[in-house]
Amino acid sequence: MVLDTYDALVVGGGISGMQSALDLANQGYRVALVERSESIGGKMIQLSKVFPTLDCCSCITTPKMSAVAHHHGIQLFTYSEVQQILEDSDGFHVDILKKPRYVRDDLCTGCRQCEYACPIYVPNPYDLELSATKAVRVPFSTAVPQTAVLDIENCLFCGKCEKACPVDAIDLAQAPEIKHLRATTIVLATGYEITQRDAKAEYGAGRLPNVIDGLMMERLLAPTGPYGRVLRPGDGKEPESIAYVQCAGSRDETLGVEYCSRVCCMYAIKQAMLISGSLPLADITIYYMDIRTFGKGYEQFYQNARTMGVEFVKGKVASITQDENQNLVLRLEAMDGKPEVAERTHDLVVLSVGMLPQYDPKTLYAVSPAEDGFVQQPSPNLAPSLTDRHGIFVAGTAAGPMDIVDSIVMAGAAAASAAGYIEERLMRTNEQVPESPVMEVTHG
Amino acid sequence: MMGTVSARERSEMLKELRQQHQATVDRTQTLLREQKKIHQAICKALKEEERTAPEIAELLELSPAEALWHLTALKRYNIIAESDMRGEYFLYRMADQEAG
Amino acid sequence: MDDGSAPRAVDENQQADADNDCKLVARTLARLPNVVVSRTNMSMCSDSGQSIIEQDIKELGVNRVVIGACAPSLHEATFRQTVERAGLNRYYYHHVGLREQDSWVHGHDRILATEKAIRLMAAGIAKARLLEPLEAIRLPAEKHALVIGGGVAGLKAALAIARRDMRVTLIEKTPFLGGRMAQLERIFPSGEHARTVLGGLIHEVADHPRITIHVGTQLTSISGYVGDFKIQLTKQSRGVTPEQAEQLMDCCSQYVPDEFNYGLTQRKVIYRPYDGCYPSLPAVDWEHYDGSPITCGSERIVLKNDPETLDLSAGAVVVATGFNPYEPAAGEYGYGVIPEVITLPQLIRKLALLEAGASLEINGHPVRDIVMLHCVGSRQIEGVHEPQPDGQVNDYCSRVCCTATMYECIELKERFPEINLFDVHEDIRTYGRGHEEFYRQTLEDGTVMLRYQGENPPVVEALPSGDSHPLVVRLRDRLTWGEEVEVPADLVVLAVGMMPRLVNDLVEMLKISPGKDRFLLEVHPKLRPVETSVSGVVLAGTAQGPMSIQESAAAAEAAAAKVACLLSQGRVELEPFVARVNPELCEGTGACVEVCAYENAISLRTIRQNGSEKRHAVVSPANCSGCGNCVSACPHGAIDVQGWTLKQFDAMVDGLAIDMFDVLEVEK
Repeated sequence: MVLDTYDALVVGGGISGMQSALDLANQGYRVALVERSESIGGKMIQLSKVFPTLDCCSCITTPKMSAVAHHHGIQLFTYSEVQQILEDSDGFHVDILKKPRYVRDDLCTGCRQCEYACPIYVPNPYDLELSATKAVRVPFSTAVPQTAVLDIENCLFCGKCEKACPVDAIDLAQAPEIKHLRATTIVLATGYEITQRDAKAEYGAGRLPNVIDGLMMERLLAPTGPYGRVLRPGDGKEPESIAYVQCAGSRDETLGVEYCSRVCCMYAIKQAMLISGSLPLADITIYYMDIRTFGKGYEQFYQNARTMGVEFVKGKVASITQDENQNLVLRLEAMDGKPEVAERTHDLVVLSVGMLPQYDPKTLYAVSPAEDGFVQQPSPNLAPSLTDRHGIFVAGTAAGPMDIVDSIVMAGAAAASAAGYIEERLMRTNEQVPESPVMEVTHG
Repeated sequence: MMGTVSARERSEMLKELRQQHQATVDRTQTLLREQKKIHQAICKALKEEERTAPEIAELLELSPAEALWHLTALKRYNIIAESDMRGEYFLYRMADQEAG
Repeated sequence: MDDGSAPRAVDENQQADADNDCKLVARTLARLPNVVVSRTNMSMCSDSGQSIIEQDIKELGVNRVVIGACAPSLHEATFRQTVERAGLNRYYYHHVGLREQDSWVHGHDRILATEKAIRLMAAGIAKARLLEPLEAIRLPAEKHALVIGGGVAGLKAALAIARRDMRVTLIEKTPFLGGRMAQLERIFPSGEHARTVLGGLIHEVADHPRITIHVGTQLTSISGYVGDFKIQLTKQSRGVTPEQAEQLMDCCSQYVPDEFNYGLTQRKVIYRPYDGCYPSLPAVDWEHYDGSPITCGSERIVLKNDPETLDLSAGAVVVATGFNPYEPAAGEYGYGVIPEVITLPQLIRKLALLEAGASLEINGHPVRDIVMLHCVGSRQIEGVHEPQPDGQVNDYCSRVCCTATMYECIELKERFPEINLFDVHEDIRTYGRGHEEFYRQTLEDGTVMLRYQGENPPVVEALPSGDSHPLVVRLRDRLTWGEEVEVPADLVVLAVGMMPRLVNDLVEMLKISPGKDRFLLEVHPKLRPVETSVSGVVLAGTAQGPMSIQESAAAAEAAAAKVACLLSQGRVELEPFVARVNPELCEGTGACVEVCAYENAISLRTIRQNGSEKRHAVVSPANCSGCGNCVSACPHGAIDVQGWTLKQFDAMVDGLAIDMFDVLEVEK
C-alpha cells in the first residue's frame, strides 16, 4: 500500500540505500526508497565476486534486494526520480516522478515472453553494452521488481510484445505519474559513476575494443555475463596475457581527479585472482603506483595474489596502442629493474577506472557538494553522515569513493543519524502540542 | 489474451503511435533490417559449419567486435550456441531445436 | 519437497559443465521418496528465485523445503522468511551448505563433488522429512545498552543509542573518558583540534539524560542473552574527593611514566591526564600507587581503593575497547636501544609538549634530518620480520599510519622549515577523502621519498659518536631502480600500526572471538559487519580493526543502528533450537543439570503426579544454547534439541549412506 507519510525517504537503491532503508525499517520506521533505474541493486549487483571473502556478489546483494522488496516498512519506487522537495514544519514534501515502463507493474510477472518476441536487439546496459538485450526486457535475471520495461526510443511499435504478453501488461499509452509524499528526513545514497573509458586519449580514448574497464571485467567474470566466460570483446579470443592499469582515472591531475578511488587496487587484485582461477595459463600483470590494500583482510589478500603468481610492476603506463592482431602495446616507465622506458604487449588491458561523483544534490536538495564533487561532510570526523542541510543525511559513495564494506557501515551510520533526527522531531512535536496523544513509531 | 481491447482497436492504436513516433520508427526499422540481414547471414554460415567470431567477421565484412556482439546476442536468445574451441577462439553452432 | 539448489560443484569457468552437474544432482534427488520437485537455479536467493519457491509451496503443496547453496550463515534466514511468506512454518526449512562443504573443497574433482552434493542433499532431505513446526522464543527486551569503552567509538555509539530513546550505561576502564583520540592534536582531514572536538562529544554524552557514565569501571561478569543480559560491573574508587583533590595532588610525590605522553614525561599517581579532561576530578592510579601515605602539611593520608559492585541488566552490549599503538620490540629499527628512534605517537606528543618557537631537539642535540619509517608493526612478512610474542606477525595494513605520517610531515615542515624529511615506505596509502592532498603537500614541501620492497626492509643503525649524525637508515630504493641508499639522520620516527587492546577476559566472558589478526571478528564483513557471533553483542571502532576517527565514528553509529534494530521494539526473538525434555521418559537423574555449561538453562523440579512426587528436568529456553551436552548425558534418552533431534541425525546418517547405484539414473 502506498502511503503518503514516511519517517524517511532514502534516495538511491544501491547497496548503501538498501542498507540504510533496512536499518531504518528494522527499527520500526516507515521508509520510502526511490531508485531511478528499473531495478534496485545499484552497481553492486553487476559485480562478479566481492573482496576479500570472494563471496559471489549476488549471494550478498540479492537477499538484501529481496528483503527490501518484502519489508512491510519499506515502500519501493523504482524507475522513479525525485522531482521536487519542499520543507515546512511537517518535514519534507516530496514529488516523485514515476517514469513510464510501458508495462504495467501490477500485471507483469517477469515471464520475458515479450522480450523473446521483440525483434529489436539493443546493447545491454547491464552488461555495459558488451551483450545484447531487446527493446523490451526484464532488466536482468535477479532484478527487483521482476517487471519488464520497454525502451520507447528503440521501439518499432510492431505490437509483437503485446501479442506475446499472457497477462496484457504492455501499455504503450502509459504516461509519467507524479506521487506526492511526506518524509521527516532524507538519506541521500545516490552513489557514484565510473570514469569514462574514453577519458584518457593516451589509453585509446575508448576506441580500442580490447581496452576495457574494471566494471566490464566484472561482467566478463560474472556467471551471468555476456560470454559466460572471460573473452576479449574485440574478437572473442581467450586472453593469455592480461594487464591492469591502475589509477586510470584517479590520482590524475590531468583529469581533475586528484583523489584515490580506494577500491581499484582491491578489485584489480580480486579480478586477477578470479582470472587465474578460470584461465590458469594466463599471465596477469598489474601496473601500479602504490598498492593500497588497507581494509580488513586486504593486505593478506594482496600477498596471496603475489604468491599465486600475479605480477605487480611499479610503473605508470604512459600510453596504449594496438597492433595488427588487436593486441595492445603498453609504453611505461617501470620502476623495478632497469631505468628505461619499456614496451610490453598484452592481449587484453583492463583500466582500473575510478569513482566519480554522479549526482549534484545542490539544485534539488540544497545540499552542497565539496570540491571533489561528492557530497560535502561538514563534520567529517565525528558525524560523517551529516550534510550541510539539517535533516538530510548521506550514505555510501555519495560521500566519496569507498568500498562495499565501508559503504554498508556508512549506511548504518546514516540510518542511526536519521533515526536520532526522527526521534528529536517526534519529541519536539509532542512537546509543542501537549494535548495530542504521544506519537508512537508505527511498526511495519 | 486480447483483454477488453479488440484486435482492431489495438492495431488502430499502434498505427497512431507509429505516426507519433515516426522518427523512432524509421530509425528502428532500418536497424531491424540491418540486424536481420546480419543474423540471417550468421545462421546461414553456421548451418554450413561451426565458425569463430573472426571467421564470421571476415565472411560478413564486419569488425570482429561487431561479429562477436551479434553472436552474443543470438546466443543469449538461444538461436545459436557455443561449441568447442579452435585455437584461442570458441566456435559457434546453431542451437539445438528444443532450446529454440 | 523443493530443492532449489545452486551448487557450484565444479570450477566456475566451466559454467556449462557446472550447470549440467547441478542438473544431474537435481534429477537424482527428484527420485528420492517424498520429493515433489527438485530444481536448480543460478541464484535461488534472489527475489525471482524465492518466488519460485513460494509458487511451489502454494501450487504443488510442497510442505518442506531443502536448499543446497552457500553457507547457512549467508542465506538460512532469507529462506526461512521465504517459506514463511508462502504460509509454511519457518522451521520447515533445511539448509545444506554445499559451497563450503563441497564445491570449495572439491572444486578440482567434479565427479567426487557431484556425488558428495547428492549425499549431503539426501541427508538434508532425510532430516527435512522429520522437521517439526517450531516457534521462535519471544522475550521482552531491555531498552538499555551497555557500551564498553569511553573512546570516540564508545562515546559515539552511546550517544546514537540514547538519541534513539534507549538508555545507555557507558563504562570506561581508565578514570577518564576520551581514549586514544585525546592524545592527538590536530586531526585529519579537517585540521580541527582533537580534544576540542572530543570535548564537545563528551559533554553531549555526559549531559544526556539517558546515559549513565561509569569511569574506572570494568565488566566482571555477564550472563543471559540478547534482550536481557545480567551484568556485573566493578568500579574502582576515585580515591580523592573534590574538596581534597587539588591539595592531595600537590602533595603527592610518587611519579610514574605518563602514558598520555607515551612515557616521554612523568606524572603523579594522583593525576589528570590533560587539562579539560572528563571527569575533571583527579583520580588515583591504583595500578601504580605504591600505598605509601601522602604527606600534606601535618597530615599523612593513605589512599584507599574500595571497589564497588554494580548490577544491571541490558538488552545489548557494544564492545568499543579500542587499540594500542604497536610497541616495537627492543632493538626493532633501533627502538629502545638508540634514543633517537621514537614512534609516531611519541612524536605527536613531543611536538605538542614543545613550546611554540622552540627548536626541535632529541637527546640533547638539534634535529636537522628526520627519517619517517612506515609500516612498523604492519604488513609484516613471515620469515622477514620477528614474530610477536604470540608467534604471529602483523600481516595487516593499519590503514591510518600513511596519512598520519604525511600529516606530521606537513606539521614538521610548517614548524621547522629548515628540517630535511625523508619518507621511507613500501606504498603510500593515503586513500581517504582529502588524504591525497596531504601526500601532495608533503611532496611539494620537498620531502624525499624512498621506497623499499617488503621482503627487504630498511635497517636503522647507530653511527659512532663523532659522526655528523647519530644514526643512519640503509635501504635498497626502488624509486632509483634498486640503488643502495644511506640516509644519515638525527631522528627516526617509526609509523607504528594498530594492535587491538588486549581484552582476553572480556572476550571470554562475552563468548565472542578474535580473528587471526587478533582484532574482534564480525559475523560477515558485508552482511553483518558490526555483529559478533553472539546475538546482542556488537562491535564499534578499532576493537574490530584499524580505523581512522571518521571510520570509528561511522562504525559506532552503525553499531548503534544495529542495537536499535534489536531492541527498539522492546522484544527479541531467539531461535528455538533449545533442549526439550520428554516428561514421560525423564527419571529425574539430574545428569543433564550436572553437564550443563549454562546458568539456569536446565534444572530439576519436583512435580506432583497422581498423588506421588516426581522429579524431572525443566529447560529455561532463554538460557539454553542448544549445545546438546544434556542430550548425550541423559541415560534415558529423554532430552532432544529441537530442530536437531537424535532421530533427525539418524535419518541424516542414513541419507548420507545412500546407495548411489539405486539413485543415479543410467545416463544415455
